[in-house]
Amino acid sequence: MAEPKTKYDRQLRIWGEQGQTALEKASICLLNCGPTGSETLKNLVLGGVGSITVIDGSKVELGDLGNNFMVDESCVGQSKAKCVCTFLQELNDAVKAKFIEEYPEALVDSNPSFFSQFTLVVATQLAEDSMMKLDKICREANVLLIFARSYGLTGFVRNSVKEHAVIESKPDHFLDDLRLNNPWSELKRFAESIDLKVPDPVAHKHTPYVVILVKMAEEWAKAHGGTLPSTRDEKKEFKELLKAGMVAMDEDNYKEAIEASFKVFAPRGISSDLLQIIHDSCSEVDSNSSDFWVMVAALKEFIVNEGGGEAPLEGSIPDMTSSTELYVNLQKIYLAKSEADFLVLQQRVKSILKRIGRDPDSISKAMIKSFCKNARKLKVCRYRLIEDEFSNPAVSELQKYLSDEEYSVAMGFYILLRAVDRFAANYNSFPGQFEGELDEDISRLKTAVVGLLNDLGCNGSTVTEDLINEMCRFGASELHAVAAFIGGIASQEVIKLITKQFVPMVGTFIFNGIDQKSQLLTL
Amino acid sequence: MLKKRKNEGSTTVLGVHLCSCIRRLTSRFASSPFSRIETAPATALRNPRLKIEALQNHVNAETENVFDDTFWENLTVVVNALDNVNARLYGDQRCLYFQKPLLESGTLGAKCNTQMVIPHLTENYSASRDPPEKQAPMCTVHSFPHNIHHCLTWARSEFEGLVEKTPAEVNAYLSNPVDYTNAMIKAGEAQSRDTLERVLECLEKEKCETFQDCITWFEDYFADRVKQLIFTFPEEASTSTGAPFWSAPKRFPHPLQFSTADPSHLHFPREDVKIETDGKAITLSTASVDDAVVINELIRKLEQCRHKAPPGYRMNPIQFEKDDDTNYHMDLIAGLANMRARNYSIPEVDKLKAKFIAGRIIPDMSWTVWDRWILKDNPTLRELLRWLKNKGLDAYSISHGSCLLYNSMFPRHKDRMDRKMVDLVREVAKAELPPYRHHFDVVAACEDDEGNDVDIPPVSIYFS
Repeated sequence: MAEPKTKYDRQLRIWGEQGQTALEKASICLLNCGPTGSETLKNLVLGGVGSITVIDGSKVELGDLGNNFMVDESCVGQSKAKCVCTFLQELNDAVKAKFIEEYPEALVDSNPSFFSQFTLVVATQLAEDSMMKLDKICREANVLLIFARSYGLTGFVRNSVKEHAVIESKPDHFLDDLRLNNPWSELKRFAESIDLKVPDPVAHKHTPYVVILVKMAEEWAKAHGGTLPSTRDEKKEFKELLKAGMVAMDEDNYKEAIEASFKVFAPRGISSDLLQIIHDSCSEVDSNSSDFWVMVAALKEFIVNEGGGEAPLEGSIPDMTSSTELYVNLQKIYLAKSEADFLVLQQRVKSILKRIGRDPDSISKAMIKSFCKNARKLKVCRYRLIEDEFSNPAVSELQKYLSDEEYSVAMGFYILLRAVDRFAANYNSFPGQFEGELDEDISRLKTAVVGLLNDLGCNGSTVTEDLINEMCRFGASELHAVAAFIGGIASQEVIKLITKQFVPMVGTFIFNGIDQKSQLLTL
Repeated sequence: MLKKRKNEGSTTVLGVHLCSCIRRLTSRFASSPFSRIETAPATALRNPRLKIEALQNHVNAETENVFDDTFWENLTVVVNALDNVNARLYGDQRCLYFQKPLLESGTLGAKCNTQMVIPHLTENYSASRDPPEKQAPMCTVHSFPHNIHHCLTWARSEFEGLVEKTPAEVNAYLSNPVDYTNAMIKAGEAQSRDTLERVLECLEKEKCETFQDCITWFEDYFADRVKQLIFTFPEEASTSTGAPFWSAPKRFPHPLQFSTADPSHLHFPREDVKIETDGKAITLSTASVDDAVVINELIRKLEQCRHKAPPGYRMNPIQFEKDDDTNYHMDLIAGLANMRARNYSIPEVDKLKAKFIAGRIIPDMSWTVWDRWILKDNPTLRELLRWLKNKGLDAYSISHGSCLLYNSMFPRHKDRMDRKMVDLVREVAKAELPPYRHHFDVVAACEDDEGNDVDIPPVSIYFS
């Protein structure tokens, strides 16, 4: 067996040691191991998840050999769960793999408490009613749940968790925390100590842009009653002032200042996302509150008091043209403030913990530090129960999606994926599943669609004939290429939920394999 | 790269890499010591009608005897699972030529892309190019290499400095001492001081004639300098944020002890040049008041040396020629690079591999991220291309910011040849050039005579 560090080298770079540990501690339950489920689990097994339990009541048939890498000829006639489990085990002997030969629907009905033992359940190819039942069970037991399904050229993925808080959201692009529009006293003092009009040309072109902007912003504010540039003309004028400060063509620091001037124009204080989080009802904490919300409560206090409307300073500064000395000094100033802010936040966390009757040291310094560094990027994801989504639909959203060119096909597939289940409940088979009944099935499916749209309160809207025909043509088949794609998406979501890094999708992800488009529907 | 042949229902899998998923899946049938490519035929067991052929050859211009016209003509579609742009570009050119569909893809961390290239329907892969990659940063090459490429860049640069540039400077001084020293005084920068110091050392020190001299030289490079570096930054040093200084990708170096028992240490040949030592620590050059004083002092010393030297004395600057095996150039460069690699525990390479990599490096160490090449007198596109050609560079793509101004693959760009660059920048790139601006920068993607990509600094074009 390869040494773990080397084996997981590639992915450690994405989610780090802590992420890997979280994965290795996780136990995953897979419902139905057709290609969709097998592909999802394959990705997780390769990633080093702790244990997997495969639940599937069916036997391997000849047709399965054409769409599932995890079964082969020798498996025909045997339990599919057993075969898939064996194949998956071979991919990574560090994973504990078990199987149970039982139909997931039956298990959901007969033994709901079975699911409490798992970290996360991946439920694939389930029909509506089983989805709703399982959803409630997992919500009750506090087990993470992800639904995934592939159907012909379409498919969906839907997370279902009461609440998932993310500290390490790792957004692709996020503005640095320079506070050029709201410098604190040490930064102001430092900027004051530097003369922008220094005669030495080398020194002039090595003044870091942070200093240039802090000083120019201060000057502007003095001349404009304390305000910073806000109108288009003012911003233009500010940039002209910067340009006027250049004494030579090659002053990169001034060019950087001009490019970064938008940071001066940006509004002070915290983002609306963060505002929403700190005003969330969960921020009123008590002894049952999670560590995350305790820290949010502390953050709220900080922002109002020591923060002066701002979150704790992140502390790092980007590269910039500068003399080494000035850059290092700037670094120190930012680090010092970031450290000071952290200490205040830590103190507040401790006193809140005491107040709600918990051990003040029960949240680690490392955790608070990470929270502090990521304060501006926190995310809270909440998901409606499936049953709620079905019975209390967001009618206006539905109608909007159905009439929007960009979303209409995705929304159409969402409707159809539910409509085929209704069809199956009535006729014991899926539309187009049997040859020779295609025309009848098309009209039956259409009826189901209309009925569903009525129930959803969207009587006026329609799903196109073409799409309904296509759905029948699919014949409830699980195509490997589509299943692999859906499995890939689903496994990524599993990783996000377990490692608590990156932001999971909020909404229903619909894949359109006809046009190779994906949409996220928030319903 | 996977390629599907038509009519035979077969697949040819090429190259040393194979989609790791297929590798894992087929690991059932082959144990892990097998190279990835060898497990490819195992896939056929799943689908007996599928014939798979696995070939270990690289796919590039050098293997066209294997991947000949017949090979390409028999393909139906090409599927890529490559790990570098050059291979992709080559494959794309072949697909374009033989009119084969190409399914291109790539992943990086949590991101990925796919691109379908269909003959007569879509643009081909090479139609859009990323801007050329940046040179490794100075500090990496100077003090913190972490791959053999960095070591070779350093070696190439040392070579150029030692045997080409400095002797040329020495000759410039000796030919016209008054003008030369006046120019140095006028510039008064740290750069001038550096140059004068090198010139002085060149004239002052004895020729490296004895074996002992070579050992001294070896020890300076691979022992003393490293000791200086690790004295300044010990193993347990930390950065201002408290993190370990020597954390990845930086590699902690170890000084080498010269030993006659080690054949690679004895590898340094004697040459017809002076080899000087340069014992300065690596710092960012900033001019200071002291420079002027030091410069004057250096000039005084240079005068002394000049008078001591025989009249008409000149040095023989040597230009790097990688393909002449009798000139020891590649030996020196490979030797330097490998010893440096040994300092930093980086895997070493043989001379042939070193030649391949080093031949592609432009060793202009004075090029920092802020340096540029300059072209004046309001040139046309044609003149720019010719200017680059005279430097041995074939520019196939010129861009300004993110806007493409010229690409040799587009026939309609030939209409732009006699247009002034400044007009192209204004019209095509829609760049705003305010009245006080006299120049703009373009990025040129170039190849050398052998079709290898060459990185060059941005080119500043002065139009007024």
